[in-house]
Amino acid sequence: MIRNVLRRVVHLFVVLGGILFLSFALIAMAPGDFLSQMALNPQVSPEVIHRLKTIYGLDTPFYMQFVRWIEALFNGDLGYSFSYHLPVTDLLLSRIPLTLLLTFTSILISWGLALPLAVYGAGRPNGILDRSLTGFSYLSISVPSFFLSLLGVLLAGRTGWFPIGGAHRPDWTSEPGWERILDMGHHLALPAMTLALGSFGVLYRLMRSAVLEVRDQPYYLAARGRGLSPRLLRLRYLFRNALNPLVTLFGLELGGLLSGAAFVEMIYAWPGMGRLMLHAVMTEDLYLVMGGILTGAVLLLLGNIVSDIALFFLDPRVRERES
Amino acid sequence: MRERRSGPAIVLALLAVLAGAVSGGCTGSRADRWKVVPRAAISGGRLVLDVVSDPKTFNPALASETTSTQILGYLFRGLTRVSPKDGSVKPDLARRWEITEGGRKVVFHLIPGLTWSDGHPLDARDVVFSFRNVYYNPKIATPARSVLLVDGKPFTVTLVDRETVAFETPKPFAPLLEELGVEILPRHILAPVVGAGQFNRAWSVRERPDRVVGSGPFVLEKYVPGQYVFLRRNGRYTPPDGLLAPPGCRLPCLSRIVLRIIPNETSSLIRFLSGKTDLYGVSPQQMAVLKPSEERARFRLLVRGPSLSESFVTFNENPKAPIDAYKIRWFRNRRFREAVAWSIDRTALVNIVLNGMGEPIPGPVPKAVKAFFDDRLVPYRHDPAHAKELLVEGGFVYRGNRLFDSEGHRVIVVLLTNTESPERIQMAQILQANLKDVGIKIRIVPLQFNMLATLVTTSYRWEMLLFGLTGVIDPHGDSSVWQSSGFLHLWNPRERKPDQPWEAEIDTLFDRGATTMDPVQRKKLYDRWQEIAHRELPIVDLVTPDQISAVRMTLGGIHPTPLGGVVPHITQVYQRGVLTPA
Repeated sequence: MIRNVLRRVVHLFVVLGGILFLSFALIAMAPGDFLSQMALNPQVSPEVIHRLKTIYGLDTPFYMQFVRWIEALFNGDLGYSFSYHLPVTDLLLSRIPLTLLLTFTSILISWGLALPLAVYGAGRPNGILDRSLTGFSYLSISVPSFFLSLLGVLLAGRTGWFPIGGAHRPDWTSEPGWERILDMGHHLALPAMTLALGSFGVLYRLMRSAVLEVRDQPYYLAARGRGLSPRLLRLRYLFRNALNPLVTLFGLELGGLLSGAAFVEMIYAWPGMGRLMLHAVMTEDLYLVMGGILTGAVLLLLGNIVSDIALFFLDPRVRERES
Repeated sequence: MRERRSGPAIVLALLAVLAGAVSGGCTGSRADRWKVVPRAAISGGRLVLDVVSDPKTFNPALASETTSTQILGYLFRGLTRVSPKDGSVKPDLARRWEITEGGRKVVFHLIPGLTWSDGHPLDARDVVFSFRNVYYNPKIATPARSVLLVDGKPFTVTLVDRETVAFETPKPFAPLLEELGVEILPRHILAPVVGAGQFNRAWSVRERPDRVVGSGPFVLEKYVPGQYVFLRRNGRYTPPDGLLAPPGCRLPCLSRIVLRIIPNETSSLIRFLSGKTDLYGVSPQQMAVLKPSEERARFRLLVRGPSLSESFVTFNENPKAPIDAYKIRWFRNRRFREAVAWSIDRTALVNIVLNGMGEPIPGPVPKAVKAFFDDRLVPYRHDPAHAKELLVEGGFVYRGNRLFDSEGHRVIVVLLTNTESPERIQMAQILQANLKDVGIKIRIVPLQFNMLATLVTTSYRWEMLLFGLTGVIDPHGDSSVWQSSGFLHLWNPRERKPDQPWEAEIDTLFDRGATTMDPVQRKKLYDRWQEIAHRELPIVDLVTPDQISAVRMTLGGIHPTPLGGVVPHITQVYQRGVLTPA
C-alpha cells in the first residue's frame, strides 16, 4: 500500500508539472496579456505600456517566464499579481478558507442527505418516498446552479430572511463568538443550500442504483437469509458495498472544492476563490491564474489519492490486488 | 476602459416578472407612497453603494480600474478638479493660480494650513515629490504618466515656497490645469518607500488602513476582501474654495461610506430594489424593470441626458495591413464610408438596443461636453437610397441586390466587436441588416477584448470595427486617436506623415488646440475638426446611451450633472431623513 501511495505521489508531481507547463503555455499563447486592457485606452501611451511590461517581466519569452516562476515556486513564492500588486500566496490565502467553508458545508449537506435517503428510498423501490425523491433529484440535476442562485437571491430580497452578499455582517467583530458563528451560518445558508441542491440529485441517483445492485447480489441475499438484523444488513452489507462508486466521486468532489462554486459565489457575492480567479482569467493576471490552477490541480490529484486509499480499506478486492 | 456588464436576456426577463414582488416586500411594508421625515441634523448618516469588484490597490499612482479609482477619488485630491456641470477647471488643493509666459508657466498657491489625514502638514513639497519622485519616476508602474507629458517631455515642477509651486511646460499647454487633477501623495509616508524601491508594492489592499494617508473628504476605515470597504469622514478635511456646504452641515456631510462588493449586476439590482443601497447606475435595458417600481421601492429615477460613452464603426485604411488590398481600397474610398453612414438606422439602434434611452450622435465630441460640442452638426439620417447612389458614384456596381467593386469583388466585410458587450453585439446585428439593404454583406465576429485589442493595435488584421472609446472632456484627450501619428489612430496608426490633406489639417488643429489658451479660439479649432471628421468619416459615429441613475428618496445633495453623474461633489451628499408611508 505504502509503495503504491508513493508511486501515486511521484505520479502526482509528473502530472502537476505537465498541467502547469500546458496552462502557462496556453495563457502565454492567448492573444494579448494583462496590459492589453490598456491598449485601447487613448490616455495610456504604448511607451508607458512598454515600460510596464518591462517592470512586470512580460517582455521576456514565455518559457523564461515559466522557468523563473518554477524557480520561485520551489522557494514557496507563487509570484506577484499585476492587478493587486500583491504576492499571489497572500491573495489565495485570504480567499481559500471561505471557499472551502462553502464547499465543505454544501458537501456535508448533500452527502448527509443523499446517502441515507437513497438507502431508505431504495429499500422500497418505486414507493412514494422513492418516487418523490427520484422526481426531486431529476429536478435538482436539470436546474442550472446559476438559475437556482438567482432564485435564491430573489427569495432573499423578497422576504428579507437572508442577507445578500458577503460572508458576515460588517460590524461582526464587536459580537461574541457564538453570535459570529450564527451570523456566518446565516450568510452561508443560501449559497451552501444552492450548491448542495445541485449535487443532491446526482448523488441520490448514484447511491440508489448502487444500493439496488447490491440488494440483488448473492452475498447480500445470503446474509439476509441467515436472519441478520436489518440494521446490521443495512450498515455492513448494503451501505458499505454500495459506497464503492461514490468513493471515486468523492475524490473528484475534493478536486472541485475550490473551483466548483464559482457561479454560486458570483451571484451570491460570496467572497471566495471563484470571483478572484474569474477576474484573474478575464484580465490575464498570469501568476494569479497559475496560482489558482496549481492549488486546484493539487487538490484534484490529492483527492484521487485519498479516494484510492479509501477504496483500499473499503474494498477487499482492491486490497488483494494491491498486495 | 470599462465595459458595462449586462446579464443575459433571460435574467432581465426574470427580473421584470419578479421586480414588483421584490420592490414591495423586503422590509415588510407594502405602502405605495412614501414621504421623507427630516432628521434633526443632516450631518452624519451613511451612504451605502455596491461596487462590482474589489479595489485592486489603494495607491492612486498605480490604480487603473474603476473600483480602485472610484474609492481613491474619495481619499485623495489633486491641485484642481473638473466641474461636473460644465467641464470647467475648479480649484481643489490649490486655492488659485496664475498663468504667465504665454501659458508656459502656471504658479499654484495651495490652501493655507492644509493637513494630511494623519495630521501632518500638506504643502508644496508634497506636490513636487508626487511629480518628480513618483509620476515621472521611470521605475514606477504608473499609467498616469501618459497624460503628464508635453511632446513626450515632463513638466518642470519647482518649489517656490511651502504654499507655492510652479509648473513649466516646453510650450503652452491648454489642458494642463485639467491634467493637474492627478492625486497628490504624502511625501512623509511615501518618500522612504520610493527610496527603498518598494513603491510598486506600496499601499496594496493588504495595507493597514491608517497607513493610507490622504487629503480627501474620507479616510479608509476597513477593507474586508470580497465583502466591504468602509470609509470614514476625514475630520481634517479642508474643502476647496467655493464649495458650499448644505445648511446645517460641515463638509463632508456624511460620516461614512459603505461600499459592498457585489460582482453580479442582477444581485446588485435586487439589493437596490430591496432598499439595501442608496444609489444605482441604471442601464437603458433596465429601465423597463425599474420604472414601474419607482414609487413603491422608494427611489427616484434621474435621466441626465447623453453620456460620455459613444459607439462607432471604423474601417482599416492602413495600406500595410495584412488584409486584401482591394478591401483597403474600398475603405479608403470616402464614398464607401459615406454610404455606410447613410445606411445605418440610428433610430433603430436607440429604440431596440437602448430601449429608447439614448440618441444618435453626429461626431466625435460627446453632446454632454457642451464646451466643445459643435451643435451645427446633425447625425446622418437613415437613407439607403442615397447610400446606394453614393456607392455607384464611388465606382461600385450592383448585380441584383448585391454590391461588387469595379474589379468584380463581392463586397463582404468582416465586422469585429467585443464579446463583453451584449449591446454592441445587438448593434452589430442591426448594422448587418442595414448594410444588407445596400448590398453589403457583413460577417459579425465577436471577440474577447484582449484578442480584439491585439488584432487592432498590433497585427492590424481587421476590416471593420464596432467599438467605443473612453469619453474625454477636453478634446486634446483624443489626440492619440485623431492625430495622424497617434498610437490609436485606429484606421491608419502611427503615420509617418499625414496620409490625406484633411489628416494634415486635423494634425494642425490639434497642435494649435493644445497650445491655444483662449477658450473661444480653442472652441473654433475643435469645431473645425468636428466638421472635417463629420465629412471625411474615418470614424462613423452611431449612438450614445442616456445616463440614468436610481437614487433613494432619502438622499440629499443630489443634482444631475452632464459630466459627473448625480453627485456633483461627494462631500455635499447627506441623508435627509427617514422614509415613512405617506
